[in-house]
Amino acid sequence: MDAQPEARPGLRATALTYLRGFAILSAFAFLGGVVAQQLPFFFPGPLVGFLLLFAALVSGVIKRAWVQDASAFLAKQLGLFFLPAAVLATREGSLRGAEAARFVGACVAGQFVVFFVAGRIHRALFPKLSR
Amino acid sequence: MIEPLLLAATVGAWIGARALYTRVPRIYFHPVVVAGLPLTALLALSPVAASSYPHATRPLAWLLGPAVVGFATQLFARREALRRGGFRLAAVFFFAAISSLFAAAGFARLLGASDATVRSLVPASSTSPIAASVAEAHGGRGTVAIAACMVIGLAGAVLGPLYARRFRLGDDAYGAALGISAHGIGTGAAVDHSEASGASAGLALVVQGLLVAALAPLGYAVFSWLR
Repeated sequence: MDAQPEARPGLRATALTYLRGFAILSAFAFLGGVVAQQLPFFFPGPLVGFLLLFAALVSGVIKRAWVQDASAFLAKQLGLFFLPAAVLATREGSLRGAEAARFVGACVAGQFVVFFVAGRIHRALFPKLSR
Repeated sequence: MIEPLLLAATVGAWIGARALYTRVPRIYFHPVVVAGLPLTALLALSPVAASSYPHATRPLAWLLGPAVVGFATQLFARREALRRGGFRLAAVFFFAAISSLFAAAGFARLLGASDATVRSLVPASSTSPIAASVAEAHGGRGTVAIAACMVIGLAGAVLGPLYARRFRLGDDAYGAALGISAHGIGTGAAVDHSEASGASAGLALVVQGLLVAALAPLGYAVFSWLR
């Protein structure tokens, strides 16, 4: 007998799933910021929130299904969250003329070197994943 | 009144650029580049818009926090693979993070850039809030560090696919290399490429941030010694 097609969730259920996900992710980001402020050394709040959410997922306090859709949506829009900084970077006044050219050249060359090092080491240590 | 309009213009430019990139997925149509051009022109033409823009777009900067936190779900989904290859992956992250401290800053020093620029470039492969904090704590300029993050991120997002083909990298290696070398903007490009490369890049983005914050004093010590 053919399997019944899985019922698609309605708009209301989908919206609630995303809202719950955003609320949980925002709460962990906020909590990460609070914890980071108490630390005696610099540690970014979102990274603390990341570690706290991972611990909550491993312990089962938070179910992956609760945050999966919202986190996938936010990951797809990551470029948008950097867009204002990228636009404002073009107005950085201390880099002009030859210094700006040296700056951009160093950034592009440096990115290539790091990409090369990371990619080649990864490929060497995980050969099966590169086939 | 102008601030909601600037926020709407930024989101609108992003949606339009994403739609164009979906139809024509060419590297020179990367959404950050396409959306950034009209916004840059707008800010150049209007001093009022330029002064209001940082405050107007704060909600977008704030959303970066939940987005980074959300990568924990991808790490959780791949925890078994990480358990099997954890030490090897740690080696990839460690050596790549070391190279990131010296790559851009080293080229800048070789090209004769000022000491402040060199110091701003040491943490520039990490995500911008970390890079700005680390650079300012070690004699660099936070704004230059953020500008470097943007140039490096765009270079990775635009040129990364070419490098990946040239070096025949699989999805996992490509994602790790983009997340390490081009932080959030590169991770966004890896998410667009495939689920595996997105997950790999998300983990790399977070670990790179931690390692750069921890290892940056080593980079600054070497550049101080070389001066």
